Amino acid sequence: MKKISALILALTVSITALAGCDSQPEDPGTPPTNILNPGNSQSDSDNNGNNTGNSTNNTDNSSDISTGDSASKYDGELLENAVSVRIGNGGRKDWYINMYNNAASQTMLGYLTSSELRFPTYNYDGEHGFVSQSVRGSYTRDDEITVENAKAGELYLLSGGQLRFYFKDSAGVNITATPIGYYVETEGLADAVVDAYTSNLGDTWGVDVYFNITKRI
Amino acid sequence: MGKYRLLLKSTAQKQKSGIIGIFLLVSVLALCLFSALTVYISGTNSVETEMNRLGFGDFTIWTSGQSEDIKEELENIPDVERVSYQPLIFAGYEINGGYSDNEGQLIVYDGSVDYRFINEDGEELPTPEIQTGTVYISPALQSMFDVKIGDTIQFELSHSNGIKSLTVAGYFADAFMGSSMIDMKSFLICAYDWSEIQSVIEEASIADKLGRVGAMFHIFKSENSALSDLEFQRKINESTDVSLYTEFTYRKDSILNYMLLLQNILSGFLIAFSAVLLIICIVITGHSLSTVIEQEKRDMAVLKTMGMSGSGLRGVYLALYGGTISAGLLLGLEFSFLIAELLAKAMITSTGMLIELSFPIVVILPILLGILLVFAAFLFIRTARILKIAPMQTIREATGEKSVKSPLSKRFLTLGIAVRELRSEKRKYIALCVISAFLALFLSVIGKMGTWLGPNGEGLMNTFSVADHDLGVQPFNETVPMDEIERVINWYSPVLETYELAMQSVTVNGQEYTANVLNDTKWFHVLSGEVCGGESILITDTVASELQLSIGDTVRVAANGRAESYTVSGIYQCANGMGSNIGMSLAGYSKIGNITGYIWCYHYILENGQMRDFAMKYLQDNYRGIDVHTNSWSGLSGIVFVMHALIVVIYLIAALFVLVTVALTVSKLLQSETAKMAIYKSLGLSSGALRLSFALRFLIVVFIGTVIGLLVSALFGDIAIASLFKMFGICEFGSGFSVLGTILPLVSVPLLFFVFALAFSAKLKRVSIVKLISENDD
Repeated sequence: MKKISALILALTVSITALAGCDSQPEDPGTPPTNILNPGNSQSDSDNNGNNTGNSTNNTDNSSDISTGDSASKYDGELLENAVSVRIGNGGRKDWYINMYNNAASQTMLGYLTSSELRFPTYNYDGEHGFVSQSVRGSYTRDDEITVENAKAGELYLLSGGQLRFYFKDSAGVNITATPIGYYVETEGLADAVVDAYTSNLGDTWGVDVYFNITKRI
Repeated sequence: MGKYRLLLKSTAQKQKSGIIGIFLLVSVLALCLFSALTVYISGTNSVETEMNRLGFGDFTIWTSGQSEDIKEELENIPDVERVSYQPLIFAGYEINGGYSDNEGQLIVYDGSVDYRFINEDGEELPTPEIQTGTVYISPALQSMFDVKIGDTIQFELSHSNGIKSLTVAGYFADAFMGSSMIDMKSFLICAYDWSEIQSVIEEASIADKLGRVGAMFHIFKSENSALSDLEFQRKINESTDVSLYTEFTYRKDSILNYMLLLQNILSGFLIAFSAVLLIICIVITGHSLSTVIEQEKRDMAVLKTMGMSGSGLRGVYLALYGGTISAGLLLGLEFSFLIAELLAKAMITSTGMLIELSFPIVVILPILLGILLVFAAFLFIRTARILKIAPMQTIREATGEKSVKSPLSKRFLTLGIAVRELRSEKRKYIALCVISAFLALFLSVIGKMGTWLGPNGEGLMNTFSVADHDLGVQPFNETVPMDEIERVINWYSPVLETYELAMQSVTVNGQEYTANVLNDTKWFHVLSGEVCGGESILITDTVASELQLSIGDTVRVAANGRAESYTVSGIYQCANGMGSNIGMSLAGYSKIGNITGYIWCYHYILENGQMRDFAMKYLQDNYRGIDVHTNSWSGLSGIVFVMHALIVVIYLIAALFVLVTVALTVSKLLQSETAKMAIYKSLGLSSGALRLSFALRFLIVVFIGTVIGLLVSALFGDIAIASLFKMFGICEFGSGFSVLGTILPLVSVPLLFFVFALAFSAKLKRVSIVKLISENDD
């Protein structure tokens, strides 16, 4: 009887004591070199202004880089009117963009919703006719092409996560970048960007041009 | 009078075991209750006094990138009595291989703020002269980083050669952030080191900087101000530019809650448990008294025929039991201060300072008197039966045996006898049923909370976190190779999902809160309404209550010098900052905040969450310019430990109560059943079988009581816990079937009663049948 009592008491205490027990996992060690440096080289990034430290996967597919005059000749499925943009804080016109259905565009679309996103850009280059800004996300270099001449309205993603928007025709740009898309309508586009830049001088955040972006698909 | 005194002495002698049992129970109750009250009240007074002495103000604004100029702006507001300025430097740090989740704040000790320097036990030491290369820390860092005097702390000031190493020289009582419940910690350094650190930061380029200069502005409201604390804070934000530089703002009561979180949890539970113990004590006392009166009925009748009055007899029992209870309460009270001292010393590494204990006589005395009054009233009512004892009738009365129709089967004889006795003497076992129901109820509620908390505090973290995650990595500049970092994380464990979170300071209708901004709003824990979009925000119950908001209301949210109107789309759960936060989408925040800055933390949900600590360690050791954290916080281990320890302590106290209850009950029952036991033995039942049958009665009754207690817990437990959690900003609580909440009380409470009943019934074995028969009063 005594033994049974002791056993039952011990069982009760044990359930309490063991209630929180958990097994500890084994230390897997440290990652091997091929994880840290998979053997690809990084292209020089053309980062200006406020960068967000976004990543690119270091898969070297330089042999797959195609050469083209501009993204409009890029062979990719098109997401028509994927986003609309109002240029500048006072912009009223909705400018539509057709986006290429590649991984980079899909990543960018993941950050957008049907609610308007105010995207500040800090790198306005009136001379060369583009506005650029680092964007969020992890991007591959699988779909990069070499672009010799850029047309007004085209968007490219350079390595280092820099999105570049050409608002004027630019010859001899010679960049290696992933085509993102292009503005459906380009008439008056350059004027709209220049107006937005001019009217935003003195912005308290130091922003060059605001783009208000809404996802439409 | 002499005869009553004699009667008192002889009754006390006769009922010695019962009196001792009640004395013990009441002492434990008083010990539990008064030590918890002492710690709770002294802790609050102690920390608040120290905060006032150090000049926290009505609220404090932490800023970065702003100089003392803004002080004048603040002081120009009519409702502001004064503002004190305390410069500081924010910097991440590493101690003994462990990296801080949050930045620390380096403060130069120049005597302007009279910090108290203490030893490991919290005792005050003379103010030292802080030497170059040394630093004074909060004792709470001992529990967070296992740091001691002589260890080195490395402060991260810039990427390139910007590490400042300082040796721990001692401790100081930090009443603002000393608790282990608060992630940010203060460090006191000398003026020379301060200048050096400032230079390193100033000389570093923007991309290179890790540390940054800031300040605390302690704001004191004018006594003549008619504004509430919220209105006052709102006025400050709306009338000055301070919000442009604000890192975060805390009111005095918020910091007080954080500083005292652990001890309030501990004392709160002990006080609640004491209420249950009080009920149990009353039930046991009543049961014991009733049984004694029943047993002594004939003797009392005889005494009445000899001239003793009913009120005199009643007075004897009132004096006996009342005296026992009073003595128990006073003894418990006497030792409660000692227990409080032990608790205060044990909590130094949690509170960050030694609580100055003082006996809260103003609170304890009324409670003590209240308990005494309750017992007195209860005893008075229960002893009323003594007055009704009619002497001659009682003497002539045969000890009537109730007849019970309860057939016994040979196969289940032991059980059958147990059931028979229960049916015939139901009233004697009601007390046991009530006690077990209350015990089971409380143990179940504690168990539910323990289950919700989880073995590593996951339940709590999921409530305090904006969204679930295993690992978080925040890069601070563009040189951080996030692609490589993500490959490393994937190597440790495949990443199932990822999202980005930014926590930014905003004002909502002028009141400062933290905005939790998610790039993917599906991760918010929405309780009611809808998730937020570009034109709307989510708020917590706390914010809704503070600002009197409901779903559909329009609010003005401002940050960084910009303001926009948003609609409240829903209520969500996030207990961070005691619920002082709102939820926003990326699009929503983009209207008032710069979304391209280094404000984003990448959160990862891993296939194997157990790998997160290994991944975090590797990233912290090999990459600069990032902050890495798991879904945890420095104070979590303290809370988990306290909760688990509390469960064990409460079970132990419950076991003690069961032991005393069973001892009292068994003694009374066996006394009244000696004849029955003799008869059973004469019929051939062994002592073992009788003991088993006896213990089975307890098992059956207590099992029924336990089931009742668990049913009440199932119906009302979640509601009670949810209302308690609301104080901490946790809006929702739900539980289900669990080992701790259901199985453990269901098994342990009946088992404890059964085992103790079995043990205490051992005296049946020692008595012979002849003696049993001769003890039959007939």
